[in-house]
Amino acid sequence: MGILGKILLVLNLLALGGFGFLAVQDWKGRQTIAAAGIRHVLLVNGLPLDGGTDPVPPRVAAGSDDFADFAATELPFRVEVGPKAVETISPELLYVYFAGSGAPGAGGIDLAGPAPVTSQLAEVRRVYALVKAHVDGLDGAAKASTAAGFLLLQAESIEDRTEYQTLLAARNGDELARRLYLRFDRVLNPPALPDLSALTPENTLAKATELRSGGVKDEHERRVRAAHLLVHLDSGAGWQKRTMLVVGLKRYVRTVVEQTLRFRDMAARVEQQAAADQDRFVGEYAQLRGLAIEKTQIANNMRQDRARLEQQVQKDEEFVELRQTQLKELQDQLAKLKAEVDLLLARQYLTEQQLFEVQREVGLTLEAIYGLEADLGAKERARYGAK
Amino acid sequence: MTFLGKLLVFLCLILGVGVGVMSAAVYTHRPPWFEPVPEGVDKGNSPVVFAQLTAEIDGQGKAAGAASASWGRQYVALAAAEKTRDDRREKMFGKTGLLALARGPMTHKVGDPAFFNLPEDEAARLLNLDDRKDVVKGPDAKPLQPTGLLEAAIAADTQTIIEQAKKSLELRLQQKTLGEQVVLTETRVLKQRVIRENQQNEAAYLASFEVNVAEQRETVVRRRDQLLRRLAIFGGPKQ
Repeated sequence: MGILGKILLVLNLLALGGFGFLAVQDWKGRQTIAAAGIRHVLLVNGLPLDGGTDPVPPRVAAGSDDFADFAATELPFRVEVGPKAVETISPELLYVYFAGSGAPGAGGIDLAGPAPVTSQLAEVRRVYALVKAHVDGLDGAAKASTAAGFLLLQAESIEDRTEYQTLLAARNGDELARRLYLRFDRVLNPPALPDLSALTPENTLAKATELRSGGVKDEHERRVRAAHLLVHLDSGAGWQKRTMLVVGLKRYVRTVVEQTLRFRDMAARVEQQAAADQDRFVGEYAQLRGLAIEKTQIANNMRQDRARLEQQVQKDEEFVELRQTQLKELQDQLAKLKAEVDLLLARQYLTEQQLFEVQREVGLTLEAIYGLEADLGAKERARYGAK
Repeated sequence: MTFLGKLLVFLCLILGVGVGVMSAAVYTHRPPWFEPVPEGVDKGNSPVVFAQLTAEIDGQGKAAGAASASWGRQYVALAAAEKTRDDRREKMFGKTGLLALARGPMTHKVGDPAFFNLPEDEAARLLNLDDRKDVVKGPDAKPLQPTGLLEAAIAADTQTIIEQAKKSLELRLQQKTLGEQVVLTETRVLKQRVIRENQQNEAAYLASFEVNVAEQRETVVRRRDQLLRRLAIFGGPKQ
């Protein structure tokens, strides 16, 4: 081989190496661009509803020994990117994706944070575990307050919200926790739609209630429910940011708008209820006012009757007092008369006694006179009769 | 040129053509991420270009911000409506509310107003429950009192009337008894007066009789003394 051939050989080998290097750089650049693109798509459309591998393998720092294996790991992850579908992704993509999620909340439980998940249901399961552990660790008023805090924003009707508020007022933490867990279960294990083929007038209401209570028609409805559940677990900025990453901006906006409309309807219902409260109040108030007017009239009449009767009683008392005075005067008069009569009788008795003594004396004297007259007569006849 | 040189030149040609084809393929099948936003999209295809995705993310981000703000406002409005309703319910139906006041709490002072003509807010069409200047007057032209207080007053008056009626009846009976006693005592007084009059007459009679008897005693004593003097002539009365 001539010198020219050897030079060409070396140049060819260098060119081959250069092309190889450029190809690797191009592949890496394409991977990076594709990852950025997938993250953009995910941010718009959200994570897949289900599937993937949980938990995501622990992150390995770039440059460490295991990084090559980590970077080469492929997680099942189906996402539509334009006309194509990506079937697997690197865990590093998810770590980078969730690195921008919100900071943990300031409350008693950290729902937010950068922990990656591969699907929306995986996020629901992760949060469910956190919420359940937190709520079950409480009791009494704290349990009720915490469970209600998660539930009140979830309410889709004023009836649900009122029930939650009533349970909270009653400090029924167990029931509130049950209803909270039921919301998670409805998303994670949605019941099948009821069979509506055998619909009869008798079972229509029951079937409608069954239909409303849980069954889902398709994946879209499951996404809607998952998004509603996640978005309204916590209103903190950190959690909301993470929820946007999980459900996607489109679904997030729709969910927030739908709940905003529900809140508007609920507020309108509350205002209607306030008006109904007022109607009830006005009715009862008018009834009480009528009753009060009627009773005022009765009370006035009763007061007059009472006054009249009290006056009558006073007159009766005065008359009784008059009679008592009259009786006392008569009794005094009678006593005085009796005393006088008794005195007269006593005097009469004494007088009669004295008269009796005098008459007796007179009688005795008369008897003595009769004796003396007889004696005198006899002596005179004896002396002067012979003459 | 040796055979080896010719072979290398041929391989370089093949490799060069291959690299050129690959480069053309890579270029023609480059990812569309940096393409400009397409004017139209076929049905079923979602073009993925950064410009479009960024625009959509920006748009959705702004929509999310607006939706969150609206959500917050509506939630505040809902909470405010609930609070307003709760406050109004408390003012209407609560323990210290208007209905409770109308029924009559134990602490209500007699004479204090219990009913009010509440003005209606024309805009909200709700009664102003705090404006209690217009007091409802009763038939007696005084502030209308709570029904409970009136019922208590009626009950107390009824009880008083029952007691007074009972007392009046007792007094009437007492009057009757006293009347009978007065009549009886008057009769006795009259009888005592008759007795006293008779006694006085008797005393007068006895007084005159006493004089007669005294005269009679003096007479018989004088007669006895006369007889004794005459008998003294005959030696005295017979022993």
